[in-house]
Formats: sequence, C-alpha cells, structure tokens
Amino acid sequence: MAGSKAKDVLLDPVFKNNPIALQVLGICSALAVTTKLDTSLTMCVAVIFVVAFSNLAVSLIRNYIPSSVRIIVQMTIIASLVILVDQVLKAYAFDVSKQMSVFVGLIITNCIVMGRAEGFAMKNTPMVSFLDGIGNGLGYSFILLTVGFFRELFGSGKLLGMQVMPDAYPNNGLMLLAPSAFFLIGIIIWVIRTFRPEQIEEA
Amino acid sequence: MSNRDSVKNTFLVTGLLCIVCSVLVSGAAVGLKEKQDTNKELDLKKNILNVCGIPYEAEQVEQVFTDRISVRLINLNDGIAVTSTPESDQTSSGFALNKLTANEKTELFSDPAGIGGARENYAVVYLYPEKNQIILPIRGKGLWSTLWGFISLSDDDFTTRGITFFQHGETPGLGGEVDSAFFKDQFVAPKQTIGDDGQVILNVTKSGAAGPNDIDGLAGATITTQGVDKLIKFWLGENGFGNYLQSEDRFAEASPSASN
Repeated sequence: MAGSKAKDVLLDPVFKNNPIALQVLGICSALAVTTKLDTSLTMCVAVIFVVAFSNLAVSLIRNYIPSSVRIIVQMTIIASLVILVDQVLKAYAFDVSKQMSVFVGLIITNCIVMGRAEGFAMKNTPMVSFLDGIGNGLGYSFILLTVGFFRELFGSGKLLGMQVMPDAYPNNGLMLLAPSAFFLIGIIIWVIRTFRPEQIEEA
Repeated sequence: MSNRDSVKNTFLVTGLLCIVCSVLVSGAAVGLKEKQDTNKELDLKKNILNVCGIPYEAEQVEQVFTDRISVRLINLNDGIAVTSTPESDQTSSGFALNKLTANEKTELFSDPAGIGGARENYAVVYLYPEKNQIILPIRGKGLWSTLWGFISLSDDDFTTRGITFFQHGETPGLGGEVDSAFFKDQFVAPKQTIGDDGQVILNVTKSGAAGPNDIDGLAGATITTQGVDKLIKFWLGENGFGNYLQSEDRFAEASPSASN
C-alpha cells in the first residue's frame, strides 16, 4: 500500500485531482501573482513549502489536537510558516518579494493550504501528508506557471523579464489584468476535462 | 488519547504550540533583520542611481553611489543644510522619519499630498554634482497606499530629470504603472516645474489630456494620477522643498555652526 499510495498522493493532484482545476481552490492568488513568470515561480515555491510543512506539522500532532480548536491550531501553524517564508524572501529575494507585496502574506488564506491540513493531514500519517502537500503544491504550481507564462508572454512580450516577442508586437494590456487569468484558467480546465471526461460534473 | 478534548489538554496543546511558533517567527525576524535592512538600503540607492540615469552593475551599487552621489541633511523650514537633527540627533546616514520627535515635525494646515497631517522639518536630499542634479524624496497618497519615491531636478532651472517610485501598493497594471518606463520616461525629458513666481507649474493630467509641458497621467488610474500630481505640487512647493530650492547654498556642505 505504502509505495503506490505515496506516488498517487504526490502525483494525483497535478492532473487527476488538481486543487485549482477540479476543486477550484486558491483562485485568488492565481489571479494576483501571475502577471509575470518570476513572481509566479516564487509564489509556487512558497506555497509548496507552506503546504508541505503545514501538512507535516499538523499530521505530526494530529492525535493531540483537541477537536474544538483544531482549525485555530492549523491556522497558527500555517501563519507561522507563511511569516517565515515572507521574512526569508525579504532577506534573500528582495526584488521579487517587493513585487509580490501582500500576496505572500495572503498564502495564509489560500484555501488549498487550509483544505489539505483539515481534509488530509488530520487523518493521515506525517510522511504521506508531507507528500500530499508537495503534490498539491505542484498542482497549484502547474496552473500558476501556465497562466503566468501566457500572461507575461502576451501581456508584456517577455519571459522571465527577457524580451521574446518582436518589437512590432503590441502588448496586450488585458493580459495584465485579473480577468485574463480567469479566461486562462477556464481554458486550462476545459483542456484537462477534454482529456479526462470523468472530471465533468453532472449538469 | 481519550482526554485529548479535555480542557486541560486544550490549554496544554495550544500553549505549547504558541510557544513553538512564536520562537520560530521571532527567531526568523531577528535573525534576518540585518540582511533585510541592507536590502532596503541597497534598494534605495539603486532607485537614486536610476533616477539620475547612472548605469551600474548590480554588485557595484554601493561603490557607484559613494563615488557619484553626495548626501545632505537639510532643514526644510529654512532650506539650510545641517549636520544633525537637534533632538533625535540623527545625521544624514541612517536618517529615519520615524525617529524624529514631535518637535521636529510641523503640523500642516492643509495636507494635499496626504502625508498624515504633519511634515518633518528635516529631510535627506541627494546631489549628483556631475550633472547638476538634485534628487528629492517625495511621498503621498495614491488610491490604496502611500507612494514613496524620488524626483530628480536640474539645479540650473529646476526642470525634471527623472522620477521613481520605490514603494507603493497601487493596483498592479493600473495605478501600479507609476513605476512603468513609459510613465517615468516623461520626467526624463526636461519639463518646467517651478514658474517665475515660485509656484509649481508641472501638471500631471488625466490620461490623454496632457499639453507639451504636462505629464500624461495613467489610463484607468485617475486617483493615483491625481495623487502623483498633488504630491509633486506639495513637495516642490513652499511647504515642501520650496525653501531649499530657493536657497543659494543648495550644493553647500553643512557647516557645524548652522546645525540648529
């Protein structure tokens, strides 16, 4: 059980059970930080770190958490991890952290983190929970990077700050605005569900 | 684990958790503070070099800054350079607004730039002698946040040479575009800022409505644009750096006797 489950837990959230595309969680930050690829990338690393370690921590103490205050306990762990990430970014990736401004702090309210802590880590062993955190972080990253790639490419004609579109290309300002991320996420969901019809909900 | 929902256990678990988390968080905050402060200072210097149009390599910011820029602490009320502030005893290096005492600030009768009702009496300005430029710190309220930046003026006729905003929380893609090249480039071309009578004549107008001497504002960001207009008018005006800009000794070193 352990071997195959570990792999499922790690890889399922990327396509089969993607937190954004199927569960439609964590949309807010997917709109906010994806105007550029490098901020998306930093956000992904930050979220993977936070989900993985909050899952690990919650799972480690799951048998001691009183059920009446379990959400608060999870929140405290998540908030501490997010502050840690924020401080590290300010010290070692100052420019990127400046661009992401409040959105690092808002990882606290990212539904994916909370959802995995409550829905998975409370019932599973630490190692599996840790992998589940990484897996969900990867699923989130997959969407974020795809959206970030297209928004930066068509919105500013650049990729990771390097000009790739010819000078004659007029930048599409809509791609820099939040609604374009909705369109892109919609298209991604459509593509995923075309290949995996079992994800389509009954009308 | 039958007693895990007991009151005693609840307090125990939450108490222990709080201790562990607070040690973690405060440890990170204290341990990384020095590095973060260095980053902030470096970012400030980068912005000053940018606004002067001085090219630099990322590793050499410190060196280029020391070689080409000189720093002055000035009294905004009379425009004269001082060596230190009288009460909080700050010099130009490491000057921080929040260390100024209440007596070192002046209540504002009207506060068009939205800087909190009081203006500091002392400020640090930067000089770029090779090109005769004066770099002034400016700040003011936009839509969501206070915009912090620098404006660079020619010492000869106070025409603009550049602007930069290094800290703001405006909407990315709309008001956040104050930091974009197309907006900032308008300040690189010399534009009159102060008229013959000492009034600030530089206007940041609604997008598309700019005359030849105006700055074209940001489309979709009316309030940010108005904020930039007001803060420029305030800081270059008589309540801001007006006295300093009118003083003959703008480029003079501070003499210790004039430190008050």
